[in-house]
Amino acid sequence: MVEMSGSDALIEGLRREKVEAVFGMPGGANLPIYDSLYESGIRHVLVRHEQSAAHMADAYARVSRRAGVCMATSGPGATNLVTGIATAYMDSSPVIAITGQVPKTMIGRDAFQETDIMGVVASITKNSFQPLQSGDIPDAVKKAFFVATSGRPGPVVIDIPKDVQTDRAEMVFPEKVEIRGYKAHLALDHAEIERAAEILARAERPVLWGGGGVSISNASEQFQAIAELLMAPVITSLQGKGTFPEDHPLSLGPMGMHGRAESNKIVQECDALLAVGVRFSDRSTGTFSDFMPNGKIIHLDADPSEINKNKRVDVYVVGDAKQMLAEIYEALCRRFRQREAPYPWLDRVKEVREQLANIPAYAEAEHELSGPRIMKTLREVLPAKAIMTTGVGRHQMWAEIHYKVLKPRTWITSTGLGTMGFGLPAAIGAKVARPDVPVVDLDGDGSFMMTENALGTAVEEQIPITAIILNDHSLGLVEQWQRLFYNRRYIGVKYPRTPDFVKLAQAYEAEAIRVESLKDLSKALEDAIRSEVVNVIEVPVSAEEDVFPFMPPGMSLKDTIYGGRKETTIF
Amino acid sequence: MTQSKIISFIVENKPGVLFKVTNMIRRRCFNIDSITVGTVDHKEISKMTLTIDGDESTVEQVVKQLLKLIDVLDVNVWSPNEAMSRELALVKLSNNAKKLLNKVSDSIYRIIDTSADAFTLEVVGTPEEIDSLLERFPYSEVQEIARTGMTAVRKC
Ligand SMILES: Cc1ncc(C[n+]2csc(CCOP(=O)(O)OP(=O)(O)O)c2C)c(N)n1
Repeated sequence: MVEMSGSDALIEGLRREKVEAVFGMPGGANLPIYDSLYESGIRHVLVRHEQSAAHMADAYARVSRRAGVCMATSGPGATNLVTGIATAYMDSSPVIAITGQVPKTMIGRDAFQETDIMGVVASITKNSFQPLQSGDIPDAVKKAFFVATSGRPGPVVIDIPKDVQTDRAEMVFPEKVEIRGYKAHLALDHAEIERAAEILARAERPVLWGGGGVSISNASEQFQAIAELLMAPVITSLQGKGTFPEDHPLSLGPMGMHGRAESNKIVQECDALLAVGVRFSDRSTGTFSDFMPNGKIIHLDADPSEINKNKRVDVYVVGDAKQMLAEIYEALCRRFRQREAPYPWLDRVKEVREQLANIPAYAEAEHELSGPRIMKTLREVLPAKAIMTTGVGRHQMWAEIHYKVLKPRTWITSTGLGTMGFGLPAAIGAKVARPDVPVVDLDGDGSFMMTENALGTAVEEQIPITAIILNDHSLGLVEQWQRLFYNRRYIGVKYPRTPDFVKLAQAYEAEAIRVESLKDLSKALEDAIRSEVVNVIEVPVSAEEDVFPFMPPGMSLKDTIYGGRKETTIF
Repeated sequence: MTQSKIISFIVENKPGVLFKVTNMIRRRCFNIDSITVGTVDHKEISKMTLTIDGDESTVEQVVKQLLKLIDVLDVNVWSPNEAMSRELALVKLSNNAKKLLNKVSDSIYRIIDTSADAFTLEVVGTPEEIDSLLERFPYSEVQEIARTGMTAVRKC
């Protein structure tokens, strides 16, 4: 037992959790915490807007598989975190958000900068803690990290009234905590594992579907082993992109609204789908009732509430993906010998691939700086270990379709919430977690402008990331919807006067260049990732180029549009 | 097909827990009929009882979403015939209604307060019993009603 202040106990708790960096901004209600941070040895990254702090912590967590920590003062500081917390919640990322609160005696009196952040975040956090005695802080910190990082990860808020930060108490730092209402994982149901293996062993047309849960539980190896044993084609969700190497012969790529045409087609023909760490998002499956009406679905997930939530499945197991996959692999080996290619299903996959190889969506556009070509160029230049973060929009969808992700946790994107402005701060958070690999933010002008001031943070803190802005002077993806579904009645989508991004970046003292050809893009990116400074590369693109394939909203995978304009091929 | 279910669950008796439960119900758009709460077991835990008319998958989701809340410790789901359920109603009636009481043979009520022009009944029974008792009194004689919502235990 040691006597210390609540804020010292908080920082000591963070140290015990091996926190290396926190992202945030101080204010009246968290000054004691900042004062305790002063000599802590923990790196503080000062942001220009708390939303960015939450995204940085989020990306840090996704890349490192450890909790990411952000901090804000009460009131507006805390509410500025909200978009970032909601983003982390939707994508199951362990963010710890530490907010200052007005003193206990002022709570409920509409004090200056008082916001009921516990109430505000209730439905976008896994749990939240508000220690009301300084002596409760060590326990709250330990519990927060445990809850955030275990089971299905998710954000947790610790809201600390200012007087609780300054009050002194005898502190006990627990080595372990137990929360009686919380089990990270339930015991595996071995009978269901066997049933799952039985279905897979009998299947003639198996498909594996990997989601974010596969990387979260570090289960890519086990996932790949089953795919190779069964010789089953592999599709992913957008979040699961990279959980299976996309240059692997069995990889078909993501399925969904802007998935690969092959994936959208093949999944409809399979007789057994092994869905791992996915949540049957409408953006992946399309209309739930039309999704896989015939084949059997096996669902493995960490979160029991995901089972049968959107789609009834035939067999499910709840637990840690790595363990479940390892057991299914063993159960399979007991009843199944390594399948050899070719076999009829892979022949069919090959046939579909060939049929779809020349759909308009995959055809090379005439103009040089077309989305698909840019994506292929980026892949050629970037090493396999490079991390890509993205904004939200056409650029993200082009990457989904055309940028092959080769390693888990190198594709960091906001899928569940689709948060514009995620890309740049996420790149910074990712680079703090992995200073040894190149980190590139692939962004749209609209998304970039939402959090562009994070450039200031990157430069000041010497976090050498590269932002590539595909500038179409438009909210391109929304413009595409207005073009396809609202008869080109463009409203609220054009940015005729986006700033000169080169000058803007230079004003922040970043290196910046505008490129007009793929060759120049390659060169600029090579230079950028070799340099030790922050880089911005602006690439002018056309707002008129639609991103296809496209499953229109509210439709089913079979309604995927292959390309061209509205009238073209629907299968 | 919808069916009526009783969901009985125990929660930590801590500030904010009732909010977390009701907020989750609101957030997921579950349509519940009633919810009650009271502390049990040395005030450390509370028991909550909610009743819901829903199809199988809705009930399944309610249970799973409840279990996902860290302050929820255990959840039981019963059909009405598997549980003993009771509700308390306090019904203030004008004295004119007294004569109607004679016709009521059930012993589920007692008079707990009287005045020159009104009296208060305490009624304990299943929600259906209370409903049918209340139906006997014309609207004009009823001055005030308060009902607790249902609570339940599993049958012995
Ligand atoms: C915070 C937020 N606001 C609005 C939207 C809706 N939205 C989705 S994509 C998009 C356009 C994105 O434009 P940009 O970042 O320039 O990317 P582009 O589509 O042009 O590649 C918008 C407005 C969103 N996803 N997030």
